[in-house]
Amino acid sequence: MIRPAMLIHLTAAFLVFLCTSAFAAEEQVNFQVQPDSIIIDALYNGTTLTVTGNVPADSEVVARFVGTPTDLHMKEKGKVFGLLWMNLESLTFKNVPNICIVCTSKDLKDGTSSPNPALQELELSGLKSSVQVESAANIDPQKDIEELLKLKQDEGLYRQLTQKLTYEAASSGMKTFKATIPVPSRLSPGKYTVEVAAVRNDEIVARASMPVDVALTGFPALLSTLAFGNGAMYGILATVIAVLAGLGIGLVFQSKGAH
Amino acid sequence: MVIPASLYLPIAGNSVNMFAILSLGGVVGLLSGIFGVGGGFLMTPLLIMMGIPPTVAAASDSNQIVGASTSGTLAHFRLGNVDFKMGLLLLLGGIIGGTVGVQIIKILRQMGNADFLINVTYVLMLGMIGGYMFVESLQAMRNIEKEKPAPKESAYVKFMNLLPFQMEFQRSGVKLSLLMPLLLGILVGILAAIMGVGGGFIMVPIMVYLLRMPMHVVVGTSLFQILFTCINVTIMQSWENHTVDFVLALLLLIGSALGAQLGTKIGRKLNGEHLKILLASLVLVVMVKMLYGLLATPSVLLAYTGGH
Repeated sequence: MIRPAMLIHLTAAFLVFLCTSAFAAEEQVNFQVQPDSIIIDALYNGTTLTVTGNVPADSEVVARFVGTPTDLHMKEKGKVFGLLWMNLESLTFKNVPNICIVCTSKDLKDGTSSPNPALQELELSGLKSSVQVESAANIDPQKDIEELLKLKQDEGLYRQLTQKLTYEAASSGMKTFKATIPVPSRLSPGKYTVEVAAVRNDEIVARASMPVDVALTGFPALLSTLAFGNGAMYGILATVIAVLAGLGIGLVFQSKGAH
Repeated sequence: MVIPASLYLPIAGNSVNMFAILSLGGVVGLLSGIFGVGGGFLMTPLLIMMGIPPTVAAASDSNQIVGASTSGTLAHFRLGNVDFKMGLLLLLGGIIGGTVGVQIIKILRQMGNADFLINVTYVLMLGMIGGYMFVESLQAMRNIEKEKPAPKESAYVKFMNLLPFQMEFQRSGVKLSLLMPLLLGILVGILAAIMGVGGGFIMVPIMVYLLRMPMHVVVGTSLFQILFTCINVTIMQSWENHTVDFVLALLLLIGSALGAQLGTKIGRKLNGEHLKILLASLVLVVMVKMLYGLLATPSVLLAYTGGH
């Protein structure tokens, strides 16, 4: 037979468990991505990833589509004799994702850099601290990184969007969100990631990520395999076809000229 | 039925509008057919503007020039405008010069400021060649006859006659030492390797003014030589750097081969002096564009490595 005191203890323990479970559920991000992989065929011209899920009702969402960081070799432009612009120093940027598309429901900290490093890491400006520069005569690496961000933004590969994320009604302490991430046409096959973070009072309260594979198919896959697998054969074939096409067009014109 | 406008290029890693690429090829092919130049100076920057990486733009451009110059050479061959003997000697010189030029550029890069030397040399050469051709053609068109040949020119003729291995070039209608095209080919090969361009802009004026070839034969022979240079570049770039995008090249080729045929027909209707003055104008436009690029502050102070 259960004593009243024990019953009180058990009830209290159950209530604590319930509260803890509710709190843990509240601080979670659940999401799914459609499509969960990108297939590049001959007619690929960019696509849209739809990210849907739920986050704590009182938080904001930051969703990102990022490529695997790699090294990037570039030249820094500078003036020679104070007059002519030239490519001067060779630079290597380390840890540069080829793509970074950030979707937020509103500008974090109204567009100014967030003081919270973890939160700042999610924004485009966060790349300023994650990217490193290697150079023989490294004068101002921060300026070089800012120029890199500018170049990538000009190319449409780095973007921070505020209009692509919407919320639906909240229930049970959670709200659902939908982010539409525009993936550019300039996309290489490889491993990419969709990351979603829930932000409250400039703090990341929960985050999760999901891999998105990008692969070539059909004719682009065939061509890529030949070009990277047997470059010499690919070059000879490209030359022979070009010569034959040139001759073919030349002959067509000759026959037309004969009439 | 709707024809899809965009096409994904697997080596360039981007999709492009097919009709834009076909049109670009057509315009450049037209210039190639008229003047016997490769057109890399125009094609590569425009492809980069369309989002093609510089290394892929330059290498794929070489591939398309193979097709365009085949078509152009064939058209000029039918018109009797290709001097094969001269072309082969220039080509041989070009290969030797290109090999030497690659070594020179390595040394220049180690010394630093190589880009400065290259760019300044390029602008000065284009300015001098374009300016001289323009003035000379203008004078010829106005029928302003020089009372006597310039002393420098007659000394040059004397020097040419003194050289050994004199040879008749029937198609060009000139007699000169085989050393001339060989040495000039080496010079152009060195300059082309240093500047990273095909060399048509330097080769054509050299054929006209130093080898004294008639303008129409110059165009056909130049295309013949460019064909072999670009075959070499296409195979080497595919092999070493994997930067030739064949789909891009094929699209450009269809446009440019058609353009080259049209260009050849237009070229036939123009006389030699008209051709020269138009080419001179084009050379000067390229020179001004390069000079502007050197003087104007770039929007981004970084550049990808590779390309023309």
